[in-house]
Amino acid sequence: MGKALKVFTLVLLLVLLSIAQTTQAQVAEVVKVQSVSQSSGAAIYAPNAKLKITPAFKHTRLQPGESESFEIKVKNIGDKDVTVKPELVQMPYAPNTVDEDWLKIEPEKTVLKAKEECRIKIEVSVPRDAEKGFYSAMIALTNDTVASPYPTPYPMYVNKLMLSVNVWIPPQVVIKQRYIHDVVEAGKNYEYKIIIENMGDRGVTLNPVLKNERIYYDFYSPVQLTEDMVQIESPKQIPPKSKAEVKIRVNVPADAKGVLRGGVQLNIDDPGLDEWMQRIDINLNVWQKPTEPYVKEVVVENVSKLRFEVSATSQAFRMYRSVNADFDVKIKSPSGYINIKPSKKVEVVGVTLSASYLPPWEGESEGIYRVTKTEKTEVYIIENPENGVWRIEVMPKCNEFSLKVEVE
Amino acid sequence: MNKFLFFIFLVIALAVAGCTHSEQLNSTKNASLNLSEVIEKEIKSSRALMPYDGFSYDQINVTSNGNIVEVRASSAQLDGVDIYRFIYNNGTLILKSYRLEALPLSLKERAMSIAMGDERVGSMNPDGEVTVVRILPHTSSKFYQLKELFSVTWHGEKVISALVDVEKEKVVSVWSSPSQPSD
Repeated sequence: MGKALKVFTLVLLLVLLSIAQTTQAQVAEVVKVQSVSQSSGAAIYAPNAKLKITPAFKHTRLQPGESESFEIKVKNIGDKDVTVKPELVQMPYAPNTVDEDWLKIEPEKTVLKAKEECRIKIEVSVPRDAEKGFYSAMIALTNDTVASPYPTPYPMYVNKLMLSVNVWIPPQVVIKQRYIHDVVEAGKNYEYKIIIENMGDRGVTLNPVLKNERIYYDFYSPVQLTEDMVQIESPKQIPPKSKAEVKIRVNVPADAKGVLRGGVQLNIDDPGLDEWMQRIDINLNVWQKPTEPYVKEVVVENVSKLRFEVSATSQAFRMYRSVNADFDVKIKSPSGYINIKPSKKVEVVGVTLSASYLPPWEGESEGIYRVTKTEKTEVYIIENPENGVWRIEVMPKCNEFSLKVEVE
Repeated sequence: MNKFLFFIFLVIALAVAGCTHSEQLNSTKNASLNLSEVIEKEIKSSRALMPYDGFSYDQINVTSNGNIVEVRASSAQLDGVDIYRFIYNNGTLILKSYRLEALPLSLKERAMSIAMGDERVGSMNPDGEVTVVRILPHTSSKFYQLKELFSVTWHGEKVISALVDVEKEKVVSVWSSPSQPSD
């Protein structure tokens, strides 16, 4: 009996050991997920880093005259004392660099004992006369650099904080819609209204003109909108605290096909609006609407079931959402059209979370849903159909669909 | 007999150790759930979100699951949605992943135009759905410089992507998937 109890205890011990190992594995997995954040601005462990800096990257958006303070956590991960003395390092090849007088760093110098941690406060102040744009800088906390057998254009600091500042000027003019996207029919005229609001205290001028940018190469072979296709009606100025309306009329030629593309440059005198921000993009997808539905006939004789399945898939790419995957269906029995609703409707949405087939620079979107395709299917079932010729008519609202007929 | 008693003690000790791990995980999860409103407030009031230059978000939707916070933000003036995923850890929001598609169509067009003008991209014959997303400076720095870039990607039989510096009107890197993606 005693021996049996010992065997039972041993088995129980093995089971509990395996459970304990599983629990540890789960904990390890959680830790692994958190470590992914290293690539998104948290701690970075360089090969010979003495310090763990959190965050190791800081991006901020400020207007001229604005400032922002933030703290970084610095931990000595080595076994020796480290002198931390933050120094601004100008980044070579950077479009704009942060000047020394933009930064206030406290403390200016400190000594961290082994495993000791401190906080460093950094205040970024953008001068009032700073120009719009992206500014970047490196703040080296120690003099340590990556050892390289080859000469490098600049020292590669190990214990560093990367800083990026987006200096922006809020526009005083708000353009309600910066693009016109539509599905149009050849030979018809369309009018689009763009509302522009001047929220400032001074009047602004505007002079909208049709402006086409050069197209380097385009798989979709767009046709440029020309002045004979587009008329623009606009006021010359917008008083303070008021709205204006710019009307863009497009005459789609009778022989137009494919994509019609162009842009209207508003030419508003607002320093907060870059040139490209004043451009109204026009993308018109000329829909070759069929005049007649697609027709399929089937002869039925002494069958128990007639089944029609119509399916359409959206292959339209996201930028120019041409048309939805949709269609209208009519069914005609030997005695005439019947009023029938689909027995089954199926909508398929393809979604991916994986970054496997994404470029490395989009790898940080892993874990975020992305729709890859949409599909719509309708199934019509007629039990004990009348003998004779049955007919299904499909009027598509998209470029591609499929039809399946089953007789049982 | 003493050995047998030691075995019994070991069994109980292991069982208690296992339970402690589970409780720690659960208590962390519950604490995070209670913080959801605080996190939402912090996200909306802080500079954690980075809309495209010169724009602001009209709609910000925050959802949280444990310490993972997902933010979907959009603007009536922009095409697409910006999605951010943060980890809320000890009062700090850490950006874990992002996909930023809320951009003016004119900018998307410009980025596409630059990408398509690149000889390397053209020679790959890209086809299929095309997307343009914003790449934040800390990601760009791994491939080029510490500045905002744009990824133009064709999701056809092969996935082909160009990393574009719109300001300098050039493609700074090109990538192609090693094999065909499965549906």
